[in-house]
Amino acid sequence: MRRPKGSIAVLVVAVIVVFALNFPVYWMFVQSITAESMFTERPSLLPKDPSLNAFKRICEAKPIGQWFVNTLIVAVGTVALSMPLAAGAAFSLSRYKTTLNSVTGLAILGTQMLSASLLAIPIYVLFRRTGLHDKLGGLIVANTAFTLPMSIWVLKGFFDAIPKELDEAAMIDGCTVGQMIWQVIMPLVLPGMVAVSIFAFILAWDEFFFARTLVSSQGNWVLSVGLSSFREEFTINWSDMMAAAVLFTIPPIVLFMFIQKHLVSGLTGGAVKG
Amino acid sequence: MKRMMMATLLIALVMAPIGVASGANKQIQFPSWMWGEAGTGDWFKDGVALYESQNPGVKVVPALVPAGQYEEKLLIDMAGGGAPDLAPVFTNMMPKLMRMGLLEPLDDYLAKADWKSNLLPVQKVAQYNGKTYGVVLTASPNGLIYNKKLLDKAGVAVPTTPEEMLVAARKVKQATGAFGYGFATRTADVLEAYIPLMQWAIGFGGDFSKDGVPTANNPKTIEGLEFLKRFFDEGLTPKGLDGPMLRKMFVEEKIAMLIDGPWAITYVKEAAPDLYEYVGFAAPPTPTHAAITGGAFYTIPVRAKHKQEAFALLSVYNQPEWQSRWLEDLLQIPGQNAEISPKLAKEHPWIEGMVDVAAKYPAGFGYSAPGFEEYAGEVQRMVVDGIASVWGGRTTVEAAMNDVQQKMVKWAATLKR
Amino acid sequence: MSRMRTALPNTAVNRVSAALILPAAIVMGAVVIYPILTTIGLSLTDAPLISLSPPSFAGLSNYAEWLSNPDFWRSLWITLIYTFGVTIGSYAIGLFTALLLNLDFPGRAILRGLVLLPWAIPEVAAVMTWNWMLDYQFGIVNSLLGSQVGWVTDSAMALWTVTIVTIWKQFPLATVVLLAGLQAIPRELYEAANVDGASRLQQFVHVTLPGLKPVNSVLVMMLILYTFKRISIIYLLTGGGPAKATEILPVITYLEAFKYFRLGSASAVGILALGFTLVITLVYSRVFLREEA
Repeated sequence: MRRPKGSIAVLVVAVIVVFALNFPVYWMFVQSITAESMFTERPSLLPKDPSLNAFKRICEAKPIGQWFVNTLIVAVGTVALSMPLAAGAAFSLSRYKTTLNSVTGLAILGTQMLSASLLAIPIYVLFRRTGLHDKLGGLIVANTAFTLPMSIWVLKGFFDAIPKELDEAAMIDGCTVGQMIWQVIMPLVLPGMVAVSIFAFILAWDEFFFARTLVSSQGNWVLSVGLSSFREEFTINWSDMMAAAVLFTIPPIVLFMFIQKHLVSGLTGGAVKG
Repeated sequence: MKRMMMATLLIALVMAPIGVASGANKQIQFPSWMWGEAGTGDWFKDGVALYESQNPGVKVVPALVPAGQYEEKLLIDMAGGGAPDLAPVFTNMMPKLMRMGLLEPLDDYLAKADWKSNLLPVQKVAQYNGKTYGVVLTASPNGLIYNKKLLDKAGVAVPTTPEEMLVAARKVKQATGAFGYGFATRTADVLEAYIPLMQWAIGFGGDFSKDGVPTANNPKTIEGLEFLKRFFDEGLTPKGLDGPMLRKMFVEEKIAMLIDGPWAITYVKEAAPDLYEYVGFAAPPTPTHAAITGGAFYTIPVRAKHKQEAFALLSVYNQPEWQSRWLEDLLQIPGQNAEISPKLAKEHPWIEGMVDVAAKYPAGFGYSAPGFEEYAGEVQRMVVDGIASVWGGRTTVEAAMNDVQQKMVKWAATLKR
Repeated sequence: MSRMRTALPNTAVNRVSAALILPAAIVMGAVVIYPILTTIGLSLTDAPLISLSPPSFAGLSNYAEWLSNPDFWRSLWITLIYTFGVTIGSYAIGLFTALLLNLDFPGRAILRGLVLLPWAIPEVAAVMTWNWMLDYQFGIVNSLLGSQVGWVTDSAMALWTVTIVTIWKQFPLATVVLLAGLQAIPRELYEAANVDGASRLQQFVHVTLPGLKPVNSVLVMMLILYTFKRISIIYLLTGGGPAKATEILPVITYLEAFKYFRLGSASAVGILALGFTLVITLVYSRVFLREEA
């Protein structure tokens, strides 16, 4: 592919912008490795006598591995459950203008409007009755309910952009509705699918409210609850907390880079030709 | 094919009963913020082991809840039909929980307990309408905690009056660069920010209410807060910090004095063992020496399933040997008057001072304004909202407290009492 | 509209469309509808947080009390400033970064990943880091700027501070969605514009912006909805203070329910907030979502 002139200049600008926006992340990292007291009036920008002690400590003292596995199950589960549901609903909203759909479309947004503190007790009661309380599966269901509206509406935007003639042609060719969505339309909305699956993944990865109210057993802790445990009744383990936060930031970012590289570029190329 | 696999995986995930399963007949649900703490956690776990060995067929299920979420989690558990069997609660939660009828009266159980008469005076916080709803677990006074090394460097003695304390703080700053006195001025955590205000208001003979009548602009209350503000104005306290950060600074020897509970000393012992021998505990150097007392209570929710067993478990912890172990291991005051052994007094000389302060100057139970026990949270917030404008440099103590008084009076009139 | 002219007969259309949308609707409905109905019920009572007996009916008195309380209106105003500040800020930074990262340059995939860091970083720790960066005494911000500002302790600053921190945490969501939108714009359109001799700016106005339209309207809507009830950042950073300067409606709801134990009263605030969001949504969807909805 021909690179436009000035791509290096763009790179420089992009690097500056991205790094400036990430200063707090950098600072968090510094706090996890520096030996300098946090009570320094003019803290130095570079870490002093950096060491990985905090990382070692948390790996020994806290069940980081278990938090990681639990969080991964919840995040992957949320993506896996919400993507098919969102794609189906979005397609329906985009293509079929029935009364049911226009009502449902707005009602979906309505589910996002109640303060979390009021949801807590009813959802807790609901989950106890259905056996979802204190289960990772329960967190998957709860997170899915809260990622769906965004996912559905964003995907609907992508479906809207695809000419209807395409599905009609597919149907005339003898595809079923399922085949038509899966084989013809899906590849075209892949950028959208990637965007909303990242959205769902990150939301579930970092979710704190359900995680702390709907789970009791320590064996079911996810990272957000684990992180909050670094603040004890009278003390706080500052550098340990920062170290844990740094560790738990890596997976979603790696995942996104991977998807970017292997999926989007290849498939949008296809979409253009389609 | 892929979709089938995906769906199977999903169903497996959602349905997988990942949780604690046990074959024991009876499970005592016992959540606490202390299970994960060094010292306290072991003390509780060892008690559970003893209890389980004495009561085969009964299993205690400990659930660690991070301290910051404990109150919210317990309330949701109770509201949603998942009340635990034995629940420790922070002192400030007691008045509300009792009045709402959420706790089991323990008088019948206590009648048979020989240790009942030995409980600390703060036990009265657990009494309402002639009934007892909790058993004090620990209660320690907030006193002057000082770094002897820094005070010596500044050439000052341990202060016993507000003026002496101010002078000491100034000299520490001059001689060492450390802050003289650290107190919480970060108002995001209302209770943290309220405790020093209470300390100085009561310390000067005032308070934010008396018998259910607001007294936020009482001259003594204002005098106390104005004195506190002098440390703030002269840069003798770090601005905008909360308790955990102040304790961290104290451990790093960047603050010479705190008014805090013995847990701060326990923390020094753990985090900076070399500093430990230089740390002392004295009565707060305010005119009344009032020592705000904080702690926790054991309670049994009214909807608990295994009340007998829960009480039997808390009785284990109330046996004399467990009470002394709390004092000796944690260097904090347990729920009962415990004897200080000569050995303990020799190894940890400050403890006698603390026990003395606890006996002489206990005050501010439940962090509530007198007469507003049930509404402690609201009073705390009104007062802290007022002081936030002072710490933000927007108003004076007097103007802020006049404003708070006005709001409190208006608010108190709306209460259905 | 051509949309009505699908290859399926009408009853089949209904069945297919319903079959596709219902699973999602059921999950959301099951988790959220029951709580909303419960909350509406509670808002008409004097229920405490935890009641052992049924609460007594209080009619609309909770609503009347809040609507006549100046604190409520002040809080609504603060909520609106926060919501729109965060939405505009997140969108602006999101669009800027998305356009930048949609250009062709080496190392693009890595930067596209890195720009998501603020979003991916666990919120509890991110907010505590900000809190420390903004500390009056030891914060890196005051140190770098040579300033003495009480970012979270001064009531005149706090609302701006929490708005900026929320924008920082949330803008990558806009970046991701807008980037996807940009990628879905057919390249042919740009090529055609090039052939017509359109300038960069003209291409942006006539190709890029219209091409983003389907995601734009939805993105803005969702940013508004999420921010309007977003409590975590404010609660951790200022607790609604200092002196109520950042006391948004969700903070009032939380305090009423979990600190003051007045669930009936808290429910009324929650339902009022829901009502305002509903109005915003309906107006917004009339204006922006109509042709697509």
